[in-house]
Amino acid sequence: MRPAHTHVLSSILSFFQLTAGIVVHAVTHLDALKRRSVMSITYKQIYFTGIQALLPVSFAAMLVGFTMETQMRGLLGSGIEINVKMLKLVVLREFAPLFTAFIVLGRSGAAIASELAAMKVQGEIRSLYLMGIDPGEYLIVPRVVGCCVAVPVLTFYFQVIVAGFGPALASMLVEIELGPYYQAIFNSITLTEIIASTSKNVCFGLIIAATACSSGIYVPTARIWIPQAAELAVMRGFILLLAGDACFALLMI
Amino acid sequence: MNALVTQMQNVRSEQFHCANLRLHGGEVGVVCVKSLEQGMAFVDAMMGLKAPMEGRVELLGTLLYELPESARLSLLARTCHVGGGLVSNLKVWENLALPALFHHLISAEEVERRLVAAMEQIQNKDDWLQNRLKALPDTLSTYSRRMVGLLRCAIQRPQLIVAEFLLDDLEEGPVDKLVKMLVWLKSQAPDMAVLLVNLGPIDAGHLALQNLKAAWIVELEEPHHAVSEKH
Repeated sequence: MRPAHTHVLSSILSFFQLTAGIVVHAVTHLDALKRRSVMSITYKQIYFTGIQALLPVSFAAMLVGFTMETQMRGLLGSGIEINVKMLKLVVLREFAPLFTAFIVLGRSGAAIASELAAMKVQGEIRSLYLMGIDPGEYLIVPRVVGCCVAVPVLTFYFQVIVAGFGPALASMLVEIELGPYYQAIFNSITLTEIIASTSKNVCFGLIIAATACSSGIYVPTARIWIPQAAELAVMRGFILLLAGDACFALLMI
Repeated sequence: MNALVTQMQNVRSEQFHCANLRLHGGEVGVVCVKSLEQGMAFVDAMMGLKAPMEGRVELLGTLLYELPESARLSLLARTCHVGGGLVSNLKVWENLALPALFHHLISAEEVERRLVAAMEQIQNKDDWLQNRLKALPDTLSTYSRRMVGLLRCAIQRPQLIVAEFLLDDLEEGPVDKLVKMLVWLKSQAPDMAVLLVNLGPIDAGHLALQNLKAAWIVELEEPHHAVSEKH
């Protein structure tokens, strides 16, 4: 009998191998998007992951913006420069990408994992093979591409709401000169920061999709694994997103 | 005699022992299996999903397991599998068109034309057109799901139909309708071969097999048993 720590280590290794395999498969089969049926699922995935998440992201962003603005004013005073610096570093660079990614992971990551697990259990993945359709092309590529497109766009939307509505809402409680504050935020953003933020968000989209797909598609064929696949996707995704964020933080030093 | 569509020589897996069969274009063959698992393992071995432990599998003139996976999948586009799960998040009409459109076999207009022609063979055509085609597969009965598989064959016009458990667990009426559709499909493409995988033994005098003019019946044995063939 193998010791417990060996079992845990081999499970972790196997998960990383499967997830990396999903990423490699998706990247090397991007030409599947030329097929209309694959493109159609990709649009559906973007709609589900991106557009349908707008409402929860809007609420979350407004509340985060309001809380951060009031807290920063209490802590740092009313100086525009220091507040803008704090907003950019803490909220726009770190908080917004992570928060958006967590929302997408909780909604779409769990849904993708349970959907794929259900398809596996019901024999639909076998059916796709028997139709001559590569499940990697038909199921994984659209989900990976959908998340990689939707997450950066949603994060940008989150950042705009935080920077736009947060100070406006907070100005009802604390004194904020909105015009100069917005101007200072706008002036402080550089093209390099936009590129870095987009790259990070694309990576987050990739992490969410690959984790969800590997948690869903490689489950044993038993119904009990369908909810477990969703749970695994969320927990593994959560840890990988934090690890990914730490890696980006190291790169940005 | 028509070209050989599929051939298995001394094929052995964990679920069955030494399968030998040859199916030519235009023929109907019947493979009787002992269990669902055995039937699925047989279909998987025959269609290239899981390599058998031993033996040689030929499909449409090619040694299946010598091909890379992408080429195997392309080959499967010329076959049609009936009886597997339909894709649950696609509506029935999307399921029908999926293989033909995915593999760019025919245009969307041709898919519609072939579907309309096949629909003429169904008694309650209006119900299908108004309700069942727009529904999700989970809402369909077992019979309707199997009919969807046959309608897909009507659209695809494959060289080989593999009908997995098509006639099992159904009353006489639905079986007759499915057989009638299969007979019509064969009349539309005389070179098309049909392989019926049946759960349990089936008599050669069974009306369905008589209507389909089955060429042979093979009973698949569990591992370490011989295969018997009845002509």
